[in-house]
Amino acid sequence: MSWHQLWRQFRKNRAAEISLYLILVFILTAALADAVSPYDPFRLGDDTLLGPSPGHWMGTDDLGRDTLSRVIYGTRVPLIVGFLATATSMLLGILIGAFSGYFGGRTDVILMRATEYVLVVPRFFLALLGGARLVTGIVKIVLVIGLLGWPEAARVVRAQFLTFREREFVLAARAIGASHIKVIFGEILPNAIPPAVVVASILIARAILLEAGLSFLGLGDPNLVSWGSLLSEAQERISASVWLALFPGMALSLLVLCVNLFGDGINDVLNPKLGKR
Amino acid sequence: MVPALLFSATVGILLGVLSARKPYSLADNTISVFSLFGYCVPAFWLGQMLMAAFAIELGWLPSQGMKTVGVDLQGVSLIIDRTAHLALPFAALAIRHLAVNARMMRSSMLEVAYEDFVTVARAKGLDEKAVIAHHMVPNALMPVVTIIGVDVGFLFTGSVLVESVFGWPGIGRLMYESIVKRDYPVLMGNFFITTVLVVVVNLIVDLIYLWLDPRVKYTR
Repeated sequence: MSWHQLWRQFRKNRAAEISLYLILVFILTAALADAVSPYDPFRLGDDTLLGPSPGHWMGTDDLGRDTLSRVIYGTRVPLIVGFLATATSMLLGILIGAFSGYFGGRTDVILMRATEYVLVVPRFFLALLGGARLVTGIVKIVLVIGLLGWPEAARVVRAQFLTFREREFVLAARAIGASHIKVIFGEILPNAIPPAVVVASILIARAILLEAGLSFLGLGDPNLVSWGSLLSEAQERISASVWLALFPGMALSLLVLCVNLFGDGINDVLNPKLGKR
Repeated sequence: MVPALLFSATVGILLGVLSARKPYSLADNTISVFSLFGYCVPAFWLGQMLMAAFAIELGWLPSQGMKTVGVDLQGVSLIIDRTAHLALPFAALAIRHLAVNARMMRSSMLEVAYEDFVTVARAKGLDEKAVIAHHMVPNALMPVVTIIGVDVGFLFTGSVLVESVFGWPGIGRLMYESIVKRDYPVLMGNFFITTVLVVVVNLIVDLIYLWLDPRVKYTR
């Protein structure tokens, strides 16, 4: 199918289409935060703990900082962490899944046991452990979350490799003398992309939630505003102002919702057999 | 945590069955929208919102801790006190898993609905309730039960955050504190217990397979 056809197919799912536009809005907001936000997110003010008002659409926090500006700046961290951590996971997962599925035998056994190990341990605790030990910084958060997401990708990619390595075109490629590496990346991997894309969308949503959770516990990057850290500040003030917690949480939920719906839409397009019920 | 797991499993499955009975009806759409949101809203934020609504605005339920401080309660009033403290964290934790289970059960039921044996069951004149209860549900449960087993790990995740919100002295909170304070013996004990729990739940899941599907056999 051409890109044009794929796009037409995708647009049949209205929710997914709207989600895509909203995700683009989130990305633009993050990129243009300096231009869009009405105040400096760190500027202190005299009006503390305001509710929504004409001057401050989402109110202010206990130091008089504008919540809307902080939510706008807070868009950056979840997006960066979501995409980069997922990229890390996918890279690892695709490599591990590909080798595991293609070579089979002992390679498969060793790699799959490692995968299951990471799957069975409650991963948030591993992230906490990593977060607490490696201290903070957004690069480290990306690495911690990225290094925990690969098992799903590896399993899906491995399953694809298991079925495709038996096909005739692989045999043909081998017969004309293509190396293993060439067969893996040139012949089989393109066939494993559709399910991998769906897994990636799930991983992005989860990475965003994980980042929010880590920041909420104070293990995020202390120099950056993130929705999770906003919620953590709001926690201390919740009896004084609900608004502080309401808006960052809504932004977070909306982004996760959009990513999930977008992933559903992609799934419908790439696996047409499954979607039509 | 355990009540949240049991509640979200049973009610989630019931909701899933209910919404798959008449796809795209009002009930189905309501449940679907609800479960979609439940799936995307982070549990700790939901906890904060519940706390703001029920503990702070309405004042019906306590917002922090496991018991009322400074009062020595006995008998029934002790149970009532604990339940009141448990209600909000329980709700925050259960809703997400409820949503996941309902979603899974719905799609699984719809998948089973087109199988031949369901047509046969209807053709031999069974009423709709019997078809659903005896023919569709047991077959549709398999993938859902698997997901519940996998989800136990995530329940621990949710519990760290939700316990932080509500100041509940639970296993998640203990684990967080032992990590931050570098108390490694406690941490290792904690990891051990959670891992055992995950394994035990998955063992139970495997046993439920046997009960659901007589074709499944475990041989040595």
